[in-house]
Amino acid sequence: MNETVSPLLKIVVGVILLMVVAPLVVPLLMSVSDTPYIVFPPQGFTLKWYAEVLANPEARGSFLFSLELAAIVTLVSLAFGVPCAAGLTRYRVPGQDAVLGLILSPLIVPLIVTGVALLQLFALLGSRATMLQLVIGHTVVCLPYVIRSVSASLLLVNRNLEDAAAVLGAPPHLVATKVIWPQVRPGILAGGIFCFIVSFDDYPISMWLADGNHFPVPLYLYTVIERSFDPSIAAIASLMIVFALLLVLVIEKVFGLSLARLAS
Amino acid sequence: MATATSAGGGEVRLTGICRSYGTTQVVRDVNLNAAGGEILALLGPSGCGKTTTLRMIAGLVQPSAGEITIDGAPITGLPVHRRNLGMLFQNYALFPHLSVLENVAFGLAMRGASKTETTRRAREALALVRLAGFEDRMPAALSGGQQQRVAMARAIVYRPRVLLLDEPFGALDKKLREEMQIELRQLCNELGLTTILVTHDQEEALILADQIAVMRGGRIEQVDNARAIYERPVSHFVADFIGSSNFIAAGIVEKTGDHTLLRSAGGHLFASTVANDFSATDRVAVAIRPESVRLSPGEQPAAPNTLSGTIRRSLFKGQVLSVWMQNGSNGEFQVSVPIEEAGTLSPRPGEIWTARWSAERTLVVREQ
Repeated sequence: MNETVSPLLKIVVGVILLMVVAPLVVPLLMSVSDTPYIVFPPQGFTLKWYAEVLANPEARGSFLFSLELAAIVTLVSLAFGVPCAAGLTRYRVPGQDAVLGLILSPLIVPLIVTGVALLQLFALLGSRATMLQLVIGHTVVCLPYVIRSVSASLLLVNRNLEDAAAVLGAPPHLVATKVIWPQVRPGILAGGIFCFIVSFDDYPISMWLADGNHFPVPLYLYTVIERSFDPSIAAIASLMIVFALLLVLVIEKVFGLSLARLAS
Repeated sequence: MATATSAGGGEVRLTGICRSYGTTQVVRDVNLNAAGGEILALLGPSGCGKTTTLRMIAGLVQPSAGEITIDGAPITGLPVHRRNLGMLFQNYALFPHLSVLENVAFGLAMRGASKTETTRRAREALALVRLAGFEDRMPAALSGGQQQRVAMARAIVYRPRVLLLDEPFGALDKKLREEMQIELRQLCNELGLTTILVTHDQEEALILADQIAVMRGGRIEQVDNARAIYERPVSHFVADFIGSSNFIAAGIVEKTGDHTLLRSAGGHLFASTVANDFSATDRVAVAIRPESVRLSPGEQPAAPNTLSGTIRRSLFKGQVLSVWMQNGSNGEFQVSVPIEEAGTLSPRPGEIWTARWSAERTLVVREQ
């Protein structure tokens, strides 16, 4: 870890990071522009767009709804994804590859197609439970992320440690909590974060399944862009970016240390 | 503490132990007995079933047939975590998310010891393996030898009756390995632990074990103390696996008491005064250790335990000079000449020399 890094590598990494981060900075800058429409570079400085957005009950409602939806989807995805990943990695199941392929397929099929398919399915079933439909739709899309990261961490679990714990006198349930859990926790956590963010950001699935009472933030943002073009759009976008950053930071603070300890 | 813990190791007995995976028999009818406080090595090449046997004692693998007892009590039906054994794994298997102290304390915590008691005894165990002061380190921050010691402390801290070692020194370099072997032997003797060790390294078995069980193809070839195994191997395999030997296929022509006279296909006679259980109908071979042989220049008159041949090559190996000579009907023959004699005795390739050895050094072994 203490190897000296060549200056060229530093420059390349710097450029890549810049390309990733620069687009995110643009709405942040535009959101403080003291003009009635979006301009870049921003002119003047004001926080009134943030005040406007936060005071707007529609915007607030969408934001809170997205949070609720993402939280439920994360819980459901973990509830299905963790046992599924455990089954696929730790046991020999007939048709293992087919099951895995099926679960990961939403990553390959365009989301918009998945969304239409789900809409047709729900229409066929005569379903009117929008919330349930949204949760199912998002879970289908989020599950691959959970399964991927949990499987990866389960595959890295050192089976010797389980044997060692058992010989040392740990009954199976304590082997699971004291030895397996600390090893897979980072993977489950990462899967959960991905899941939350994918659901929170999702447009193509929600577009087909949402209704006026269940209106996630990305849809709201899109309708606002169609209606007007003032910096409040940038303010909403900025709030979403800051929120995602905060989420990652909090998790890094709470669990990051244990990751660093493992890697040291 | 050391003497206080010598509550004595348990006597481990394996009776008719078998294990198969599908149609493959990995362990076949193994009968073994490790007396209390004894160090027993299961020695053999990879795939001989030694690790499976050890894992069956630990409870990590269930035997297909047979019974294992400790101090007469059957443990075959007991789950792993209730067997109260200590085990050292090949790559130590330390918990990476726990500190050194927490690792050592794990077994005590599982036994419901109080927090203060656990900490006190874990510290004592660490002191015993000379790692006092390392309590708060993480395993990844330790060297291989230190990790090995932590694993050792973790395995003995709750005073198990039996200690199982699965190739515990494989990952260490030669010098450190020898140090650790001697340390381990002292520790086991001090604690009076019955120890069962799995290894493919004959030297390790010779250094550590009171008794060695040589395994091959899932079966036990021979069980005896190190010296007896080396000096009186029963089979070609054992004579070849422990040390090295020259083999000449021969038949028994005469046997009176411990004296055996054998003749090879080429008509050479061999006399042995090493006791053996073979009769004229058994397929046997004469085994001669390279270091048992004395060389003299030129061709000597034919006699029992004498072979002449052309020197093929010689190789300096530090303490000995290894010489290979070609004997017409018996193939290549290896001789080790101690280096202090090699100065006056220097066989060169192409020369004819004669090898001779005594009847006490002529081993009769079963051919496979």
